[in-house]
Amino acid sequence: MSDAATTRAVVIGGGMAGMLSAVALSRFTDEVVVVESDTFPDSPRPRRGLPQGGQNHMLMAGGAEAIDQLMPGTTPLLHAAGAHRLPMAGKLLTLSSEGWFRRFEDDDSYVVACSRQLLDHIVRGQALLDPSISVLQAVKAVGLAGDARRITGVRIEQNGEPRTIDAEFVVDASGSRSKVRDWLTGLGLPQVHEEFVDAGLAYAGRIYEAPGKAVDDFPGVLIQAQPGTGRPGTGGAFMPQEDGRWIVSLIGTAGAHPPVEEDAFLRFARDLRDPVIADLISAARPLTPIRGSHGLANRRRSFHKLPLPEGLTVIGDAAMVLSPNYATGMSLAALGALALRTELKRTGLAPGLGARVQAQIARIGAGPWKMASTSDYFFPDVRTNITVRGGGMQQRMTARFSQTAAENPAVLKAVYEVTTLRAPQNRMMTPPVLGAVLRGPRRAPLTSEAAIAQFPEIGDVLARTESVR
Amino acid sequence: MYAFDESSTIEADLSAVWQTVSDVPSWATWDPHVLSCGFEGPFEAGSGGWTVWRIGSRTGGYFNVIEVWPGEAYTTETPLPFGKMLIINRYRRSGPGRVDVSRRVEVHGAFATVFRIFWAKEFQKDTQVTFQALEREAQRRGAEAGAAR
Repeated sequence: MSDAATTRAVVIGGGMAGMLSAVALSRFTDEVVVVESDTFPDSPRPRRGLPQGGQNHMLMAGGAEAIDQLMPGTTPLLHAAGAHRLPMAGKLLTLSSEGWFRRFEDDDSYVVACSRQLLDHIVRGQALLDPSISVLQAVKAVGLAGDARRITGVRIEQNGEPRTIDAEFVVDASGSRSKVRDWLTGLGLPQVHEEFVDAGLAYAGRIYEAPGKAVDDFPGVLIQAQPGTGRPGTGGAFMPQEDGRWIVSLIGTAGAHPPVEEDAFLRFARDLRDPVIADLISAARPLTPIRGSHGLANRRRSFHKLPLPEGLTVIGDAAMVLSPNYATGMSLAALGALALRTELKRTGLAPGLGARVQAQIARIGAGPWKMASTSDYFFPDVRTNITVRGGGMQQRMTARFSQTAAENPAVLKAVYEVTTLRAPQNRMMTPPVLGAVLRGPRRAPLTSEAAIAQFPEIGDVLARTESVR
Repeated sequence: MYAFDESSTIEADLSAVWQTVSDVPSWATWDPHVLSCGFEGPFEAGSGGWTVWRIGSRTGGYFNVIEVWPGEAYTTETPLPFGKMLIINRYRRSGPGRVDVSRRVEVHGAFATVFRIFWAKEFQKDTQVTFQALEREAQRRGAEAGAAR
């Protein structure tokens, strides 16, 4: 244990989940030590420990609100630094698996669009305003101290020297490559079960300079991949970023990976179900090389089913990581940290805290896991160790939902609330929503031209390009 | 009507106490009683927000600030089924670095009996927890302000 006069928590990992967990703990322990193997830049720049930082990231409304609960005033800082608040109903041109979504007025469900580097920089800066939080940079966590009943600290290597930091509570927030499962089996605990659904997803992304007037208040574009067609899924995301930049991420499941070569990248974008992203980027100047990314499977680890030792909880991607296609990672990390604070408020550091937080994290992740895993399950050549029962029925129901949402704002509003993690999945199961879905779509689907015409800002840019449309 | 009163004397400067309680968006960061909260507008009569309390099954709701005496007191009103809840908070300097804090909770209307049965005891107990947390937070803010000077 730490010195008699002080209580200490240790957080393994200084990313989004780690920093927010440190904030959650800071009012309940005298000090919080964050152990980070990487070093932090002093400005929003790429870092080695965040290899996915160059790809498109979206902070969902539920995650943004959780961050503001933990650190009030953080999202206003993000917006002041150039992040865009994009209401899904009014600022995202979306081609779903079943057609174009209609634009309508609704400000509740939104995404925050900016670079991952900016998000991390602002969140880290806010967290480290608290003098009780300190970071050990370039220090590697190599194990847990304690036994199968209680964790008493973290074993680290600093400048090649091993030592142990004692702690009353330890949070593992070291991401999808966390070693905590091995450490726990080393203490005599059973292996933590991991479910995975791997559609073989790969990304290719690039940053552009937005042309002229398309800097302020420009909408985003999502072209979603279609599962269940028997063909690999392909899609793309186009998002405005800070400093007058755009980011484009193209995705493809096994058998249709997006290329990182110049011409092939553009061709891939043009061959999506609609070429609007290709048309937009042909009007913009590339600022970076095309960067690829692989190994983006959905993985859920059942720490909550383990007799978890006292004094430990596992948070963020270390507990569950979803394919970045669903853009929930940072938001679920924030909601997990908020759950940690809620349990701390209820019981302080009393016995059972870690297990209670773990149960909450599992509960929060259950809906997003179901959505992501049952969607990716239906891409060809998927590798998985789960079985989706009634798959055909689920696919038909999802398609019906999507078809109805494409023309019914009330249904689409419910979909957006769940997608942005502002509401649980049962928001989509209310009688009015289910009634509308059972009745099915009542209007003809939007054509590409009509869908894009809903967003004159996009039309203005396309008019200046030599679109082949 | 149902009502209870709680009071305490805390070790903090009145200015730091007032700064803490009038910074509504930050209530959830220091007050164990408040799990989450939101607030729109300046801290003055007419502004409103919401809170989720840790008592019961995460109860809470919307409130409006109906009265503010800067540095001294504020009152919020929460609509309830068939009634309303008033929370009257007062702060008075009782000596160097000491502040008398008090909270009166009044539940008006038919809901008063339900409140008394299900929430009153926990709410009253939590009010003292809030006072202790307010002392720590006001001391922290006071120290930060001192360091900044």
